[in-house]
Amino acid sequence: MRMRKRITLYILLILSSIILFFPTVYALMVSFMNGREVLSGAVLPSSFSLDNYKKAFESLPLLSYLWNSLVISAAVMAGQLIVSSLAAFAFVFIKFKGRNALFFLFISTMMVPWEATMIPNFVTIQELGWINSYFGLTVPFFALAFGTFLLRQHFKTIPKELEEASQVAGLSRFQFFYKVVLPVSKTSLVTLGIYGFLTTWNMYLWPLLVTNDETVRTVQIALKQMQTKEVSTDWGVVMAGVIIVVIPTLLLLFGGQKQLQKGLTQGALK
Amino acid sequence: MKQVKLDGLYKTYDGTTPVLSNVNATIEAGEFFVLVGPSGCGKSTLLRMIAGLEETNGGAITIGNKRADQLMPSERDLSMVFQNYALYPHLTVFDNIVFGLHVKKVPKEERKRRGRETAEMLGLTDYLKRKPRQLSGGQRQRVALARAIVDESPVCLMDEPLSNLDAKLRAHMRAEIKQIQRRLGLTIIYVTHDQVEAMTMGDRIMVLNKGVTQQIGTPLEIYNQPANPFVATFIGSPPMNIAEGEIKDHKLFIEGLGPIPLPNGGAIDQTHVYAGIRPEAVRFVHDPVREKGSGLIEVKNVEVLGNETVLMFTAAGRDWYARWSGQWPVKPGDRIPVMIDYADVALFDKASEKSIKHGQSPDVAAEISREEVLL
Repeated sequence: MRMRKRITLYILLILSSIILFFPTVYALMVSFMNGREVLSGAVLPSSFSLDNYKKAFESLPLLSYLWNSLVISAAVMAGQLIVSSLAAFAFVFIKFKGRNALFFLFISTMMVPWEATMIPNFVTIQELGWINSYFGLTVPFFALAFGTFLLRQHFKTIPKELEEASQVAGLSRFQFFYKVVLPVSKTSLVTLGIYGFLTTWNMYLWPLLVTNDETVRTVQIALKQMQTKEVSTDWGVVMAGVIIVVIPTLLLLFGGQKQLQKGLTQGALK
Repeated sequence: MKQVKLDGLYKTYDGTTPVLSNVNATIEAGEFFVLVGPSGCGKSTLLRMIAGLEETNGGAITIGNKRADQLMPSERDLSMVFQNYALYPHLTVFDNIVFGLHVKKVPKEERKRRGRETAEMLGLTDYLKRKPRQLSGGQRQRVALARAIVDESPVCLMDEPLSNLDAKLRAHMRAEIKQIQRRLGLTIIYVTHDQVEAMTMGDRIMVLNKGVTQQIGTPLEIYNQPANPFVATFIGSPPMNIAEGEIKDHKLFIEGLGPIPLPNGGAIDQTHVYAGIRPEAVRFVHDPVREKGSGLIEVKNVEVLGNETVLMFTAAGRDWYARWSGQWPVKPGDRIPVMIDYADVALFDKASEKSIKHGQSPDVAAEISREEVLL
C-alpha cells in the first residue's frame, strides 16, 4: 500500500515537473533548430548547431546590452542594499517620535503598484535630464519598502545587549552599524541583493520608457527587438537570445540559493 | 582601580512612579560589591545607570574623581558583562575578546598579547578560532568575562552573569570570578537575584526592594543583623521564619508555638512585633515538660539532604522551616516538640519594620576566634 502511494506520488511529481519545465527545455531545444524545424513543430533539433547564437550576437549588439543590464542590476542591488539597510537601522535602533507610524506609512507604499507611480517618475526623470542614462534606470529603485521591511525584521532579532555592549566598548552608532549589524545580517542582505538583482535584470517596461537609443538599453528590450525586427520572427535566434539572457540569472540563483532559502524562511520559523 | 559613588540616585520611567529612589552607596576601589534583590527591584536598572545605558533622573554618579552621570558609556572607563553574554556572533572568540581594544586603537601587537594572556587566564586558548555558537554555555560565559577583563578597565559591571548556567557550573564560576577579581584587584559591581551568589562572592552587599535600599553591609552583617523582615527573609536558605508576635507578661507569644519567656532585664517597649527565627534556631526538645518555651508542631514536609534535614511546619499561619544537622527519622504528619531560645529571636517593630533586637548568630555560641582557627 505504502509503495503504491509512493509510486503515484512520484508519477504526479514527475508529470508536474515536466509541465513546469517544458517551456524552458523547449526554448533551449528551439535555440538549436533552424527555421524549418521550428515551423514543422519538432521537439528535438536534428543537430545541435550554434548558428542561432552566432546570429543573435550579429543581429544586435547583445554584448553591450548584457553589459548595460549587468551595470544597472548591480547598481540597483547596491543602491537598494545601502538605502534599505540604513533605513531599517533607523527604524530599529534609533528611537524617535512617530517611528512606528512612519514605518507603517513606509510599508503601505508596497500597496501602491509601481505602474501607478510610473508617470510622475517619468516626468521627474525627464526634468532631471536622465533619459538615456544609467541614473534614470537605477535611482528610482533605490528606496525599496520591501527591502527595508525584510532587513528591519532581521535587525529586530539582534539582541539589544549587543548594541549596549558596543556602546560600552566605545563604538559609534555608525561603527555599530557596519561592524556588528551588517555582518550579523549577512543572510538577509544576500537575499535582498539577489532579489534586487533579479527583479532589475527582468525589468522591461521602465527601461523601455526611459531609453530611446542603444546606449543604455537592457537585454530584455533586446529580446523584444529580436521578435519585431523582421516580418517573420526567427524563433531560433530569439530563443538563443533568451538562453543567453537567462544564464547570468541562473548562475546567481544557484550560487545564492542556500542563502536565499535561509533568508526567506528566517523569521517564518521561530 | 577606582571608587564608585552613588549619591541620591533617582529613576522613573513614567515621571511619577519611582523605579529607584534615593540610592546612596560608596563602592570602594577593589571591592566586590553585590546588588541583590528580587526581580523587579531595580537592581539591573541601577547597574545600567552606572554603565550609562539608562539615564538618571536625579542624583549623581561619581567614578574615580569624575562626575559620570552625563558621560557616554564609553567615557566612563568601565567594562560590562551581560546576562546573555552579548557576544558578537560573527566574530571568533579571539576577535570577540579583543573587539574593544580594536575600537580603543590599542596597537596590534599589544592587542594580541593581551588577548592571549586573558584567554589563557580563563582557559580559552584552545577555542580562540571558534565562533560563539560552537561553544557551550560555560565557554561563552568565559569569553564574555575575558572580554570584560582584557579591557583593563578599573570598574567592571556584571548583570546576572551566571544565571544561564547549570548549578554545578555556576558554583565553579562563582569561585573563578572571585579569584580573578582578587588577583586583578578589580572593582566589581555585580547584580544577582541569587542570595547564595551574593553571600559567597560579595565583599559587601546592597539589598534592594522596590527601588529602595534595604541594607548595605558585609554578608555576615546582613545575615546576622538584618535591618528589617524583608532582608531577614531574603538572605538565607531556607529563609528566616517570620511571624507576628505579641509581648505580654514578659513573654513573647507566637501563634502555634509555646510562649517564649524573655530573660530578666530584657524588657521590650513594643507589644506588637514581628519575630524572626532562623531555621537552625528551631531546636528539638528531649524533655518538653521541663524546657520553657517549647511547643508541639505538626510536620508538613521533610527534606533529607544527607548532612541536614529540613522540616516544614505551620506557625502563625505561615510556612516555617526548621533545619537540623544530620539525618532525622521524621515523617510528614508527625507531631514533635520544639523550642526556641529568646536569644535566637530577632525582633522587628510591627509598624516601622525596623529592627529592635538581633538574633544571636549561629556560631557565636562556639566562640572560636580566628586566631584559634589558624592554630
